[in-house]
Amino acid sequence: MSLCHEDLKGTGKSRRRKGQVLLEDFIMSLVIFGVIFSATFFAYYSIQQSRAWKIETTYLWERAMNTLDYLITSPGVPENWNATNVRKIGLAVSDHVVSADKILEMKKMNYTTLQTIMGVGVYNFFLVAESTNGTVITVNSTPLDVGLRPTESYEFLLRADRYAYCQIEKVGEREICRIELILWM
Amino acid sequence: MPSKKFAEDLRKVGMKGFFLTFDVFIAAIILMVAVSIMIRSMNENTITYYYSYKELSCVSDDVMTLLSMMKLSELNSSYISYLLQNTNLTEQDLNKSVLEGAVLLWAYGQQNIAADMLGRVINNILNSTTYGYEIKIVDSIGRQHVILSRGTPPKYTSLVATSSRLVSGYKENALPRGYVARAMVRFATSNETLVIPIEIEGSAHGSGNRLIVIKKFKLDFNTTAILNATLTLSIHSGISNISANDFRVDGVDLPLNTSNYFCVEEPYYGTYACYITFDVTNILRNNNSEWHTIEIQLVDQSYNAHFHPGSYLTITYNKTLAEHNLSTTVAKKIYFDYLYSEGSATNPGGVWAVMPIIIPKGAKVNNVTVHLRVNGVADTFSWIRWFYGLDPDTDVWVYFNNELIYTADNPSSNFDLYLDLTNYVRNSGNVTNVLYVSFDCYPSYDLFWAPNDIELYSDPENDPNGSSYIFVNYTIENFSKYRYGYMPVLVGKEFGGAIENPKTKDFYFYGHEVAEAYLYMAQLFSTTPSVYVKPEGQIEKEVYAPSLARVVPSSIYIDPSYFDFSVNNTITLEDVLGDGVNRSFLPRTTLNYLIMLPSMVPYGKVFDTPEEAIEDAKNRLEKLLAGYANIINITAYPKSTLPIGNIPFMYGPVLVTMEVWRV
Repeated sequence: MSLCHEDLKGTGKSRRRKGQVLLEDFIMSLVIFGVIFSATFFAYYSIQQSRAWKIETTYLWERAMNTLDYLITSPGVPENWNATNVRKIGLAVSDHVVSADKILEMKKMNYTTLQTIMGVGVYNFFLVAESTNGTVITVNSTPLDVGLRPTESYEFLLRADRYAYCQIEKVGEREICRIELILWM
Repeated sequence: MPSKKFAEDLRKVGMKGFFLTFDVFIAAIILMVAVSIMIRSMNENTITYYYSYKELSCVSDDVMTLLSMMKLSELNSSYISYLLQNTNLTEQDLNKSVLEGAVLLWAYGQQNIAADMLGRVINNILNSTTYGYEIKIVDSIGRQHVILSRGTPPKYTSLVATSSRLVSGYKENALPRGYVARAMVRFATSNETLVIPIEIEGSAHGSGNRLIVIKKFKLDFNTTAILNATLTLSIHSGISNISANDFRVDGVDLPLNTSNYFCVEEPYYGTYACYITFDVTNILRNNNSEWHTIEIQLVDQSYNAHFHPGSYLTITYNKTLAEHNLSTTVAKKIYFDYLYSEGSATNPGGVWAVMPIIIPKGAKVNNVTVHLRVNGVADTFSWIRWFYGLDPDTDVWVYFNNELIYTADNPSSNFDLYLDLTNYVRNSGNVTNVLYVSFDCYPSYDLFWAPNDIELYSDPENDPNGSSYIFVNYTIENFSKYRYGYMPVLVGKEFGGAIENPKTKDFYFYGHEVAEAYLYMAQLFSTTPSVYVKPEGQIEKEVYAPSLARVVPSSIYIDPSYFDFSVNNTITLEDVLGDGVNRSFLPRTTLNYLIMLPSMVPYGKVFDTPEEAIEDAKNRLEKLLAGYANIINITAYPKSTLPIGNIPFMYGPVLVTMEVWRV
């Protein structure tokens, strides 16, 4: 307590000490200010950090969705690309019709090259085409998936998916499928 | 908080409005924490909403796009039949998208079926534990009709994503009201043709040695229904006197006469290949047992006695047509023929056989295994084999296509082997594969060395598991479309015409689907016959080319995807020319195909009376099955159509809207 009864009652001597700062009050106010300032700073920092993570996640999620959108709506560059001449990867035969052959062609490519062309930066990626019953679609026993499957010890993982037709050219059949893109590290 | 007494003291000393630091401290902390929590929670909500909306927006757009792309004909075949039978949709409507079909049903007033149809497709795509949705049709004057919904929409509209498509169309030549009818086959028969091949196989080498071949086969129908049974044999036994051979069916001798065979000389060895035809109709018709037998005894003179492509029994019989589901999983044993080859130290022999392993295009191979049981295998060593580039110690060879996959240098006399061929078949990617097995002989170099009798054991009737066989197990999802409303019939059509190379024949399927097609070539000599298919107006495709010269299977599978069922399909067969050996194809060459006949016709045009509608339905069904089925009884079902307005009536333009939310 910074207020002293004796000081207030005071003698004539103490009344003459006008405008003097009380040392106890000063120290106490400094402590209080320090606590409040630290708490505020911590809260602000925490919010900023959280926001930065959200912005990064949002950015990545948007990138994943944009990538998926391009994959299922565009044939890529050149249109009939293969593992040796691809400049931009698109999987579509037509809008929302994904070519199984193109996914198989992706499987022939080097993973690091794929990472660069897909534009996922330092993140690992895993692209998979699943039937509506949740099983991975296969062509002649080869699963339609490409990239690195997430390990159990991932630090960060983001999933984005779209629905389209998966067309198996050799058989001339198509089925509704879920194309999932997983970014992780 | 200051005590009451302390507050009194303050008033006494006249210190009104004095500022208490401790109170401020507590208040400031509370305020700060509250503000932090508020900011934090506001921040998180904003991000979550953003994610949810964008994701839902994509989901609703994807689903609407798929509904616009998916044809009604892509629905489950049994459901298509249901739609054709229970709604006003007709076969012409099957080219419409599911979305257009739903709007058309809605326009017909069949909203419940429209909802059911949409629900079947959408529920297959969207997980019910994750997404709720509602489909609405907004008509041309702005009225909203909820067609289908799943789950309760969220309280906030910001958590619902919407996607829309405009649909419109019209129905031509529909009367405002009247009668339609559909018709079903109640009783019909057809002539089915079964082809039972004798595999390409042989041996018995040297003057006077016999090769005995026994083919056992099962008939699962009453043999009195047999209309015709013809056995043809393309043999190369190296003899000039064909009557030394012996041929029997079900124990009955088949006599040779001047009119039922012809022979052609092979100029290098001076041997003869002969083509023999026997009419065995009465023999089979009079024996109504389940199992039947073909026994052939060939007496060799030089080279080795064996069969060439074209040895098979064709049985045409009258069959009562019935709806039959094609199984998507095929598991069957294909048995080797029993072979018995005589041999001695001075006239050594051996046995060999070529077996086809057929995997339809797009089938998933589950398991392929071969079991070989051969008695009397000799373990020998000969530098002559080394001279020909072979291992001098090897007595058993197994080739898969052109790959040597198994050899045995010291085989047991009673040889028993199981070989897993699954990966070889999977990796080949071929539709028609060939397995070639050879014991104590290498016929390509005219090498034979079994100094004793040797038999390739097979008796599917009495010892199915102990016999030599190839087990094939695969799954073919394409067959799932034949689960309802089809009556399969095996049709056999000979090429006919002249003995020629190359040989062509046109096949027309009258728009019916073919589920399987097997080609049985007939030749006196065969080296590398190739098969090509060219649907009219389209490019020609090679469907078969042998992987090894002179290793030709008894049957070749032509995947139905090579055919266009609505036009003429030209099949061309071509073998190498030159060197004086006649490799022409014989008229007996046969295409055996499984045609899927529909058992009904859906509702057709609208008529003024039910009688006219029934007559039309019956005529349509008879026309549809003409040439393939003899219809004895048809049942037709008429019904009154719905009143549908003007002619032609227009539906739409309407806006179909889908709302999606997370549950």
